[in-house]
Amino acid sequence: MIPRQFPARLFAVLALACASLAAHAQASKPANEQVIEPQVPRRDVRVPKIPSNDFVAGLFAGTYATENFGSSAVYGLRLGYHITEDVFVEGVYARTDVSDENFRRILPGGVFPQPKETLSYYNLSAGYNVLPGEVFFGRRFAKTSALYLIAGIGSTRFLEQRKQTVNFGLGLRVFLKDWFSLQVDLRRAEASHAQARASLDLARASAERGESLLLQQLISQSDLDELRSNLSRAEAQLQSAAAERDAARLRLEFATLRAPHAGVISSRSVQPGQIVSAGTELLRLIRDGRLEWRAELPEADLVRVRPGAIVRVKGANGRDVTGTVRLPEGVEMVQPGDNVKMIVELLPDKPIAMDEGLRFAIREGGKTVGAGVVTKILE
Amino acid sequence: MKRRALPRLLRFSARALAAALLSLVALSAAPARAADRVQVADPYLELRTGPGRGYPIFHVAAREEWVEILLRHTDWFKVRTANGREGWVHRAQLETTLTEAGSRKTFRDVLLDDYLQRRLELGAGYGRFKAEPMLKVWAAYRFADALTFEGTVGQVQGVFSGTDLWHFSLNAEPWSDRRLSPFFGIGVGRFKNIPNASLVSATPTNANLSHASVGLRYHLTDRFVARLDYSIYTAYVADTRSIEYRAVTAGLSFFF
Repeated sequence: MIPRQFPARLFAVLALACASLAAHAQASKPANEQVIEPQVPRRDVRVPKIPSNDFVAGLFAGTYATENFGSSAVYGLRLGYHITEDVFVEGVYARTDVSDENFRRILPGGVFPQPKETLSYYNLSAGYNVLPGEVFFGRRFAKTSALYLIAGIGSTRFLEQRKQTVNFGLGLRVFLKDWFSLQVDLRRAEASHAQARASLDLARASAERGESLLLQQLISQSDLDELRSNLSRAEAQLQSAAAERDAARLRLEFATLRAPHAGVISSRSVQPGQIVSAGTELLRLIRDGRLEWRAELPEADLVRVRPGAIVRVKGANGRDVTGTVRLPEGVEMVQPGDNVKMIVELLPDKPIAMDEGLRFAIREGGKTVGAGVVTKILE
Repeated sequence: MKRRALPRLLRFSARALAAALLSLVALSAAPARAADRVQVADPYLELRTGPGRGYPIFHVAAREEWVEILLRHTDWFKVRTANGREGWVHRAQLETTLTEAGSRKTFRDVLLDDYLQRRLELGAGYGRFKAEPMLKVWAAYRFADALTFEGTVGQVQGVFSGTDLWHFSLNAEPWSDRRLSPFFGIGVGRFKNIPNASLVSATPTNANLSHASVGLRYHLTDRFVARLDYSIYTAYVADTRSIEYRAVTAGLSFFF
């Protein structure tokens, strides 16, 4: 028994000692110290991190109707972000295989290189939620939904061509779960530049071909009517594109060079693509193919040169080019020491690289009457 | 001959109609974690069926009731009350709620302060590139108060040719703490010009480019910023030759 009671007594003694210590401490406390100690718990300074479903990623499938070529299945990717409860943005990339089956039925060979050609497009659009609401499935389930208007700009690629396109439409979004929603939408895409002329050419060619095929009783009247309606539609589209075409033509006009006189171009001082300012020399033109240069002859030969004499110039490529001598007006005879202007008419279909140092011979009546060297090309 | 003519014959997208696009959208899934609990300090908290002011109020949580915050969608929070009701509450109503520790949570509206704190921004603009329509999209990261790193992708669809370009640039915005603030930028990138197939002896151009821009930014409201800029692009088409283009675009961006 004793060993059991011993620890209890010891504790009692210790407790007494503590109490007396505490009493002693209270007695020595200064008078101005705070009586109540503030019981402030640790503050929760954690920034709230609540999961969000503002970002959206998804796949979609649908049908894509291309004008004149029918509809085809389209598949794509969609990335979106909800900025506010009203506004969202999304980017889309999609592909579809367009078939020219309608044309192949009427025109053997079709109009595409392959029966099916891939069309791909991407666009960036902004949407606005207009009609928030709920969709009810039976009596027990109600899911939130929103009707939205959407419009955007993008690019469409088809048959090695790319066009900027504008799209607009509307859709319905139903949130089946917080992290899962269903979107159904309808869009219309328009290319920014119509190529009505080309379309008209196609329609006209198809209609003409259809008429000849009808004569041979290879196609039905209804098929021909379809081709004719394509033609009239294309003609209407051409009217609307006329202004744009005229503007393009005017711009092309500025880029066309016209020679003031027929002749041979002797030199070109610009490279393709170079930007030139007004007054810059672009090309040198020899009027009517006449080349003029200053010749020096031995004095003995000079007296025998007469207008109309034939000049034969040995070209750099070994070929001879012939021409005739013409003296400037008022000069009948050339004296030693005179400057002679000989105008040689080159054959335009035989161009020759004229250069200083070329040798020439002047012939008359089957005989060489003079020979010399080209010392300077004047023009 | 037929193959060459074909691309011009097709007005492929002049009136393309994409009908009935059915899409499955997987939103970024919420990770499994303990929800935050807050105590209602206002007289009541209105719970709506959906995240928007147009959805009806179907339940009200009273003062001192505890609610769990499950999910955020823009300015709306999905909460669950003690009796298991789930609904959407606007940020403004949660501003005065208390956490378990008794402090207030920070459910402020997006204000000018957030605009000044912004880091990541995304935008799109439309304008003129040498009298031809230009479309561009940019993403910007602000790594210092007055400095922004920006990546831009642009497209120009002209009458005679189409141009794709991209560039990275460094923008300085010395008064970025103002609502209306000018900025200056320089950058380098790539320039790709593809002439229309109908032009004679047309060759595509693929060249480096550099650009310099000046512009103005204006913080509209919430998270939207309007922006107007003027750029000079220089395309280095050959060793000795470069072409200069001027572009003006206006656009809208938003920050995260």
